[in-house]
Amino acid sequence: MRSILLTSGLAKRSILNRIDPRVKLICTLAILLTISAATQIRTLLPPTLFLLIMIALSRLPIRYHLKKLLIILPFMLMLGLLFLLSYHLQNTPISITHFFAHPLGQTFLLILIKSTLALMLLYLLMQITVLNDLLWAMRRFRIPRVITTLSNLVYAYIHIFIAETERIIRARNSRSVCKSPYPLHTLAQISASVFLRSFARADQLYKAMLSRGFVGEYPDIHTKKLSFWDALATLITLTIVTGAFWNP
Amino acid sequence: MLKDITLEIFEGEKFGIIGASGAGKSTLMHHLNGIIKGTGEICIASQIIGKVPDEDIRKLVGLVFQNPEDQLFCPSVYEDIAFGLINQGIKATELEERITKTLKGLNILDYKDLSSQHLSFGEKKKVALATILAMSPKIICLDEPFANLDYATIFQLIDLIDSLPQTRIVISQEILLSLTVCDRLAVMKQGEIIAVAPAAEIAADHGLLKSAGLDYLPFLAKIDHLLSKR
Repeated sequence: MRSILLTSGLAKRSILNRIDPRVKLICTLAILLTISAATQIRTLLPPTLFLLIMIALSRLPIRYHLKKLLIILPFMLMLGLLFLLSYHLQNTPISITHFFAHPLGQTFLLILIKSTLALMLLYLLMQITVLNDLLWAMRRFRIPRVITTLSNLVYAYIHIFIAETERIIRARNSRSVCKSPYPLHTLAQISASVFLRSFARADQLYKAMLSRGFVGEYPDIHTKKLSFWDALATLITLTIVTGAFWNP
Repeated sequence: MLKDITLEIFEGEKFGIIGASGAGKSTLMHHLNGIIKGTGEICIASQIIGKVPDEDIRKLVGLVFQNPEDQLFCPSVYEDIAFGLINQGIKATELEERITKTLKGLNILDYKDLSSQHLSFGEKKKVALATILAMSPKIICLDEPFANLDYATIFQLIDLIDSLPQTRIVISQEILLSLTVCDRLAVMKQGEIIAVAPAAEIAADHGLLKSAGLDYLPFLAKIDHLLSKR
């Protein structure tokens, strides 16, 4: 869980790091829109190609991305299964053997690929951009500061929350002889402790933030200018979007 | 609750505030940065807290909290140090340089990309100090800087605190350690300052230390007694 939530800007040595965060954000949104607008699997080929090239350029180990894919896939399968279930309840059931030949099977596959691609793309954006830069880009696009500041705080506090949870679980395990999963009342106790300790710690951390000049929002410190790499990234994205919808 | 505190600390001074647990030392420290506001008046470098924006005071006074876990909240050491600098409006181009310089100065450059949550207590203390040093405040307040540290780390910290050019205010329960880094000491008891004097004078006044719950002689006698029994 920690690895999904708590990493941003890992791909520091990547060429993608040279691209302006605003361009990365816009390009990602354009590809996401292309993915969501796709009605055929063929349309998804250019965005898939784009994602694979970006993964290669990110210079992060391929098994790192595969691990993320393995974490995401069960959720996406669940999403697809929910769709199937809703269809099944309203209509007549279809044969499993002809499933992918049936329009329903193809829609299921489309949903599965679209959602996986979208999540992997967003995940990649997090890896190739430091969160502060991403939030700066969002502010440049007039996203309210309250949203970007809250996002930053939530991102920071997730670490604290997980660290506190780990500590409490370690303390519980150190005094436990029971090997079975936590009984319900223990889970309730742990949850209450996590909540109370996180609350107390958040209060202290807020004081620490104030003492370091925090006034409720993050000031902008960047003075970025668009470069050749930004123009190239935009051009590639436009090609991908056009390629996806091009029907000769 | 603090009562009738009157205290003057001079520029560049190494000042210590000592007292037993619950004497009000940390509360007093929080007042110096404007995190807690009382009814009195605190003047920092000709600026009165409450009459100038809090940000101006926070640029002048840096607080290093007793528990580094209360100070570190960002996903990485780099981001934790950058937090204060960003709030100061330091430009992105200068940010990296300031952070690297601070980490190098503390010999912890290797921690730059690590998560603060996974460091040892001593390492966290150094990072917490780095978050403040990077901001280059005129006054640095350190709350119990030596608590829960091994001797090697304590000695490193003593040398470091001694080498800082800023005005230093060290808050501690440890009279002996305070002697090593402070020229002048204030003794607090139940929210009041009961004495302010040169550090050596305070250390020699066992009656005063005993009344403040800080006398170290019984502790030394106890160690002597335990060792003699073996």
